[in-house]
Amino acid sequence: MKKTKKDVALIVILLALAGVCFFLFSAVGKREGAVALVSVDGEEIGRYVLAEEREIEIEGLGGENRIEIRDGAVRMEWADCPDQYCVRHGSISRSGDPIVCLPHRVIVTVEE
Amino acid sequence: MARKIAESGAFVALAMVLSYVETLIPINFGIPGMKLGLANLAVVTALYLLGASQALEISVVRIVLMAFIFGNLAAMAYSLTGGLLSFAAMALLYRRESLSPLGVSAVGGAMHNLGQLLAAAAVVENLQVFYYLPILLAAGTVTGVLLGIGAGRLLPALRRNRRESWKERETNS
Repeated sequence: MKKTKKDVALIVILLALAGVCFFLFSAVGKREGAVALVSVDGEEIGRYVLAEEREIEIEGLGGENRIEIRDGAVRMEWADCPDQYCVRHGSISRSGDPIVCLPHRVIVTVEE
Repeated sequence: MARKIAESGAFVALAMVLSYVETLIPINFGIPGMKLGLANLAVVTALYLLGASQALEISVVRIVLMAFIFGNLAAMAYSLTGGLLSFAAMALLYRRESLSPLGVSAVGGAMHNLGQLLAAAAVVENLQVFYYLPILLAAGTVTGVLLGIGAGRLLPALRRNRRESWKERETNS
């Protein structure tokens, strides 16, 4: 089968285009991208950009939680709930796998 | 005319079978919209063998029929946008002497995925889907090249076959 130089050039251009998009997107995506969404009893109480390091106190139902945003991830740093499942959950940086503090009805999700 | 219809029918059937076979391949790439696009083999081959207008008919008929049989309207919107964009790009390029089915099919594969993404972005009204653009562009190019190799192998045989059947008919009549 004949294969021409222009074919190869075309394919290289297409792949290069994909590569450029990739780097462009990963540069842009990291900066804005993900936010942590905090809700209490089903009501959204705040959105926080993951790029910015900070600690946030949350008034849950019948107790308090504190989340920490650091290195592009969010975790439940402290909570006065009895089971501490939320604290042990660890940090999340992607959508899916929300942190749930059931006793206080606090849910922390990441939206990309 | 009868010959044209018969050939279109054969190609539509081939494209549909290829689409169906593809659904049987249990490979999930983990990225929505990423697939082999086997049906494009029939479209590329038809483009070279039968010309642009007939290949366009084949592509559209295949997409509409597949959507009615196996899919839904949303799926049809995606693949129609992808199919048409891909076809337009290939139809523009295929006459060029400097390009072979390999390059043409690569462009077709990339454009197909781009078109699907555009449709998806329009449907969900969210530009986030373009996150998948780089990987889908690259994947479309690679699968396009593979299908282009296939089409390049098929075409000489099909052309020969077609010429011979023509000759046969003329001597018979």
